[in-house]
Amino acid sequence: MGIKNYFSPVSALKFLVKKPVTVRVPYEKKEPSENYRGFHINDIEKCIGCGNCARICPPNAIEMVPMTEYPKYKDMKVEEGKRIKKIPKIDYGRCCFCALCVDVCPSFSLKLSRERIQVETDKEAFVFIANNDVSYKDNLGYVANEKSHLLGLKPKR
Amino acid sequence: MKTYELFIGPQHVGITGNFSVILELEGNVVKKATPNPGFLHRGFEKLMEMRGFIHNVPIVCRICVPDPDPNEANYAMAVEKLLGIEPPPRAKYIRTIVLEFSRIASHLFTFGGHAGSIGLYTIPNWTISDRDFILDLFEMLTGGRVYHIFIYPGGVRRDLPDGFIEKAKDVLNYLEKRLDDYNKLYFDSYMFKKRARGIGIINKEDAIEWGVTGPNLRASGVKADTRKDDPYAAYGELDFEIPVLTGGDAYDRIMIRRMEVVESIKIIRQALDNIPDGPIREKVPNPMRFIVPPGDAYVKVESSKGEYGYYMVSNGKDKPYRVYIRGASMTHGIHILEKLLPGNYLADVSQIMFSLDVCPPEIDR
Ligand code: SF4
Ligand code: SF4
Repeated sequence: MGIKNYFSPVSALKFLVKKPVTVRVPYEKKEPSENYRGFHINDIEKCIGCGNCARICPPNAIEMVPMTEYPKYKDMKVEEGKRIKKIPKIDYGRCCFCALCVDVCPSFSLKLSRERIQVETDKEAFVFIANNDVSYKDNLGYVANEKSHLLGLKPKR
Repeated sequence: MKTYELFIGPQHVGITGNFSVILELEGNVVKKATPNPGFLHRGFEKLMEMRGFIHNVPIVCRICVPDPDPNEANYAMAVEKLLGIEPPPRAKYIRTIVLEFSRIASHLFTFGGHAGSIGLYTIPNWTISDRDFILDLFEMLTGGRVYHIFIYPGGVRRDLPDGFIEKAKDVLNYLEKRLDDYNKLYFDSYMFKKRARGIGIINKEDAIEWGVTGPNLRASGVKADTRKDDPYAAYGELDFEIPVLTGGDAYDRIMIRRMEVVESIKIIRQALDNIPDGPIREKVPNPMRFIVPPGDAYVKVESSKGEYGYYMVSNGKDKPYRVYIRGASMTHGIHILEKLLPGNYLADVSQIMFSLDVCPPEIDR
């Protein structure tokens, strides 16, 4: 505990002239990583409506709803005696972004994006059917691959 | 002199998380302390009985917020023991890397908290920004920053992405350099020594008798570490030391964590260099019908707070029959704190708490 220790904190003053590590959001952007776990993207055409995603979801954030609930397929003709395919509707108030649903999706249609801003004035805005008409549909984040898939399936090329 | 009661509650700046202590003071000297952890009761143990084995994977990491990975690893290891499987070697190395990064991140948090509580406010800013580099690595590997939900029964969920090893090494080099800066401002500083030496001493006998574990135990002169005594993941194959100090005071409890950061950097470097190739997950049951054979298992790991233990009972269904979690902070946050605080100044209360590295969510599970 000498005189050296007494003055050693002064050396920290040099950081006053160094470049800060902070990112100045929103003027600067911080890119999320390659497999970031953000909002879902679902290719509804490819989805087979198996409900695996709803069954694995730990906080029960997924509800399976008939495909006709989605505006694009509202007027879809359903043949007599056939069941309408059900697709996942996700409640982001519950979702913990664990991506387990992505890793059990047998058709590899469900993916996570890198979109993550969850601010809206309408409380219903973040309960919606996962789709691929969203603005962030090409901003792919966590996508299941051969090694991560929990059912041991391989993505089709 | 008359005593009065003071409630330093969950919003107080010197408190680790949602935790409170009811103090009885005489002047500014503590006469009696009653910790009250009930603000963060989330009922993990009961919740886990009602959910499938895989549904519990995203729950367990929430038991300790700053250091979530030991819980994930411990849960996965308990399930693996019941299933009678071993993760593949590559998964063990990835687990080790994740666990040690988590330890460094958690220790950085503790340094920040402790330094803040003795008035060195620059240190929390530094440690939290440095911890963010580790979180960036976690984000790259797992997709999540704080809760990684990454260690899965039977192995891990994803392989190391391209460029991870190089980036991890850069972060380690950076952290090692930063330790010098920390030394100057914090660990060697006159103020830290003056404030923390001789405060809140736990002697060796008490530490053993009260069941203190982890860095707090090693700061009291007992060489015990689950990573060495009962190796799990890849620790058995790596070369590292267990630092031990003998003072048992707040100063030694912080210094031992600083020494552990150095060891952790060493461990991660070895793991990154020697990581074997191969699969990342053993064959496990279908996640939607994850049936575990009946039986019970107790598995322990060393977290940055101390020793964790999971006792899991399965009755052959797809849900655990009972999961009991032994967290380190029950001892440190309740019994030891109650014993250490009386006789100290009010100004040292938060310092003692931070030096014990209490993690309130795991006290009341
Ligand atoms: S990410 Fe997890 S919590 Fe969210 S919908 Fe998928 S399974 Fe459910
Ligand atoms: S798991 Fe995939 S295919 Fe099955 S319902 Fe969900 S999104 Fe559709």
